[in-house]
Amino acid sequence: MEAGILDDETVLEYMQNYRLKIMQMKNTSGGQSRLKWSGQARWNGVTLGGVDAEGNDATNPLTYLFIEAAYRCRTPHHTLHLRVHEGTPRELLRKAVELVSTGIGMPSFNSDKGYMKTLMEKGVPLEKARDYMVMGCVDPTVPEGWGHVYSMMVTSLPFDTFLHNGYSKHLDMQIGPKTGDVCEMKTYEEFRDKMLEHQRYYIEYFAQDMLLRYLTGRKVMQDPFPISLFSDGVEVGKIGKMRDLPYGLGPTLNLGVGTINVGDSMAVIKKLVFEEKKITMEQLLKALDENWEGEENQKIRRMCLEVPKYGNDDDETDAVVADIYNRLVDIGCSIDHYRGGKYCVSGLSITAHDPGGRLTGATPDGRYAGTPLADGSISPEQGYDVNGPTAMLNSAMKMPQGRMNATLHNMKLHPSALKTAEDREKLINLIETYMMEGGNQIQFNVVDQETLIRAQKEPEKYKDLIVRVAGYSTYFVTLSKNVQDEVIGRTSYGAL
Amino acid sequence: MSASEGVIFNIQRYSIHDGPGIRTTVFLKGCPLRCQWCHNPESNLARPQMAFYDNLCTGCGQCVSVCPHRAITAAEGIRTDRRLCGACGACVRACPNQARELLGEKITVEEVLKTVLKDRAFYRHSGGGVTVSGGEPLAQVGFTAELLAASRQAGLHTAIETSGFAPWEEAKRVYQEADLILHDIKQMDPERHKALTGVDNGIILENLSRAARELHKDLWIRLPLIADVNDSEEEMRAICRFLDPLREWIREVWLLPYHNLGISKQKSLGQDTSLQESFRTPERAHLEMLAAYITSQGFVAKIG
Repeated sequence: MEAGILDDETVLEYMQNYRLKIMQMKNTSGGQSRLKWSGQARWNGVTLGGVDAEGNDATNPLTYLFIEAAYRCRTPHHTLHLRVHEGTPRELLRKAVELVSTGIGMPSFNSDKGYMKTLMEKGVPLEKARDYMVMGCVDPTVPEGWGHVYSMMVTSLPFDTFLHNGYSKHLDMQIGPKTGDVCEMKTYEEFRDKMLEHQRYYIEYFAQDMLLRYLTGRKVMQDPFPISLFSDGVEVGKIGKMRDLPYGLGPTLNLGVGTINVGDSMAVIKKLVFEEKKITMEQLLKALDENWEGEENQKIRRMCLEVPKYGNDDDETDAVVADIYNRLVDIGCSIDHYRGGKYCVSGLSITAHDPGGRLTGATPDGRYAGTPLADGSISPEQGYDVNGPTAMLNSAMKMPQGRMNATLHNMKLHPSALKTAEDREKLINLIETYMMEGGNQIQFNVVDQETLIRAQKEPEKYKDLIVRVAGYSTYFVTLSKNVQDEVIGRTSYGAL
Repeated sequence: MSASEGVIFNIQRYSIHDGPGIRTTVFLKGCPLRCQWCHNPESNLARPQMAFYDNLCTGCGQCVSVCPHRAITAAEGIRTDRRLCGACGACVRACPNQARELLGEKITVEEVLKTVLKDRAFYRHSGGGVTVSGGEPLAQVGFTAELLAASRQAGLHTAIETSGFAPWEEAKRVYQEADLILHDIKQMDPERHKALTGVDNGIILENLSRAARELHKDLWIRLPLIADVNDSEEEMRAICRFLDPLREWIREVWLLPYHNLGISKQKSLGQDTSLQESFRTPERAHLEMLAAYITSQGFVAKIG
C-alpha cells in the first residue's frame, strides 16, 4: 500500500472475495453432527486488534478494513474476533459496534486480560501470550498452534442419570455408575459431591473418546496445510497432532454444554429440598419424570422457577453455579491426557445445546424434557435473566472464567437498542467493563422483526429480549400487545 | 445511616438515557402533577397499586378465590373492581402467568443502595452513576436527599430527574446532593401549564433558575413535546429566552417526543385512556427544526 500498488478499495475487494470464497466451502457430515455444528460454520476466523509482543496496541489500517469488508459483504463466515485491551482505540470499538448493529453477530469481543491470564497461568511466557489468536469460535491458541481435537460434553446428561442412579430414561438402560439413591442423601454437600463423582465417570470416558479421535486424526486424517500457517510449523515439519504441544499445554475438554442448567438445577435443589424443605426429592423426581405434567407437578415447577436463576446477579444462586463450574474444572484439569500432562477445560456449546437438550429429561431449573439447554456456556438460560444486561454480566463475571481456556457468551439485543450514536457508546462501555472485570468473551445477537413477532406469540421464550421503546430500553415481553405492535411496526422501517 | 423509607415502583439497571454513562435509575412513586400525557401513570399515586395485563391472562381464575377483598370476579372474563382492591398482592402471588403486578413497595435507603452498588464497575468504566426519578423525587424529600447523599458517599455520580415542583427549601435539600439535575420544562405559559399539568409553573421555573444561579448545578433541560400542544416554535423561543441568563449551567437541552407507552399502562391500571389517545408525536422533521433553532441559540440540543 505504501508503494502505491494497492489502495483501500482494492484491498476491500480482495477481502470481500475471500468472504465469498469461504462461503463456497461446504462440509458433509451425519445428522447428529449437523445438529451440534449447525449453521455450516467454517471455523475460519480472523483475529483483530489486541497488542503486539511488546504490549503496544496492534491496531492498524488493515484492522479497520477487515471490519469494513464484513460490513459491505454481510456473509456469516468468515467470522471476526476483536481482541480488546485497555488501549484499544475507541474508534475501533465504534467501528466494531457499527458492524454488530447490522445483526450479523460479529465481531465477537475477546478480552486480552482474560485470555492472557489463562495462558500465562498455564506456563505460556508473556511475550507469546500477547501474541495469542482465537481459533474456531472462542478458543485461544499460541502462535505455534495447539493441535486440538474437538468435541463437546453435555453435562446435563450425567446430571439426569445421576438423579436416577445411573439409569437413562431416554435410552432405557443403565449407562452411568450407581452413585446412590438421591432420595437417601442427607445434605446438599453430600448430594453435590455424589453428583460430581457421577460427572467424573463420564468426563473420564469423554477424555478416552478424545484419545480415539486423536489417534484417528493422527493415522488417517493427516493434513499438513493448517500447521504450515502457524509460526514455526514449516520448520517443525509435523502436523499439529504429531508435534509436542508448546509450553506443556494440554488438549481441551469442553464441559460447557448444559452446565448452566446443572448449576441452576443445583441451586433449586439446594434451596427447595435441602434448606427450606418445601418439597422432597421424591416429589421433585416424580415431577421431572412426568415432565411437569399435571396440576401438582405444575405447582412444583412454579416453585422451581421462583428460585433465582443464574444471570440475575443473585449472589446465592451465582455462588452455587460458580461452585459447580469450579468443581467441574477441577475434575477436567485433573485428568491425564494422551500427550502427557493434564487436560485444559473450556466451555462452549456451538449448537450442541439443542441435541444435548433432546437427550436430557426435564431438569429442576423448570426446563421440559427434550427442550434446548442454555446456549454458549456462560449465557443464562433463555429468558431466565430478567434484571437487565448489567445484572447478567455481573453473574457471568462471578464464574471462574479465568480457569477456562474460553467461554462463550451470547447476548441478544434489538436493533432499536443501538439506534443512536449515544446508545452505541453505552454498549461499548458495557463491553469494556465486561472485558476488564473478568469476562473472557461476548457476542451479540441483534434481533429482527420476525423474532419480535415470534416473541409476541411465545413470550415465555423471549423474556430477555431487549428493545428500545421510547427514551429507554426495556424487555419486549413486558410490553402490552399494542406497544409490541407499535415496536414491530416501527422496526419494519429499519431503526438503523 | 438512618433507615429512612421511601416508596418506589422500579429500579432500572442499565439505564442509558437518564444522564451520562451507564446508570441505575430509581423510580419513586407519587407525583403532585397530573400531566395529561404522563407516560408513567403508575407513578401518580404514592400508595401501591395492582396492575393487570390482560394479554397475559389466560382466564384460569386462580386470582378470584385468593382475593380477600372479593374484588375479582370471573363471570364475564376476569374483572377487578378497583374500588374494592386493597393492593395486598394476594392475586399477584397466585397468578401463574405474571398477568398481575404489584406496583410500589416500601424500601429503605440501604436496600436501594445495595442494588445500585451492584453495577459500580459499569459506572466506573462509563462515567455513570445513579439517577433518582419518578414520580417526583421532590415528593419524598427526606428519602431522596438521603439516597443521593449515601450514593455520593459511596463515590457515585448522582442525578435527579424532576419537574421542579416543591417549595424551594425542600428542592434545595435535594438539589444540593445531586451532581446533575435533569429538569423538565413542560410549558412556559402559566395558565396553559396549569391546564395541562394541574399546577402552576411559577415555582418550577423559579427553582430551576435558583438551582443554576445559587447552587451552580449542571442542568439538563428536558422538554416533553406533544404535537400541537407544546411544540410550537414560539414555545421554543420562550424557553430559550428563559434559559438565556442561565446558559452557563445548561449543559444539554433534550427534546423528548411524546410516546404512547402511557396508554397501555393506564389500561393496566383500569384508567380512562381517551385523552392520551388524542395526543400525537411531533413529526421528526419538526423536531429537527426545533432542535436546530435551540442550537442556533447557543445550546446543545438533542432529540431523545
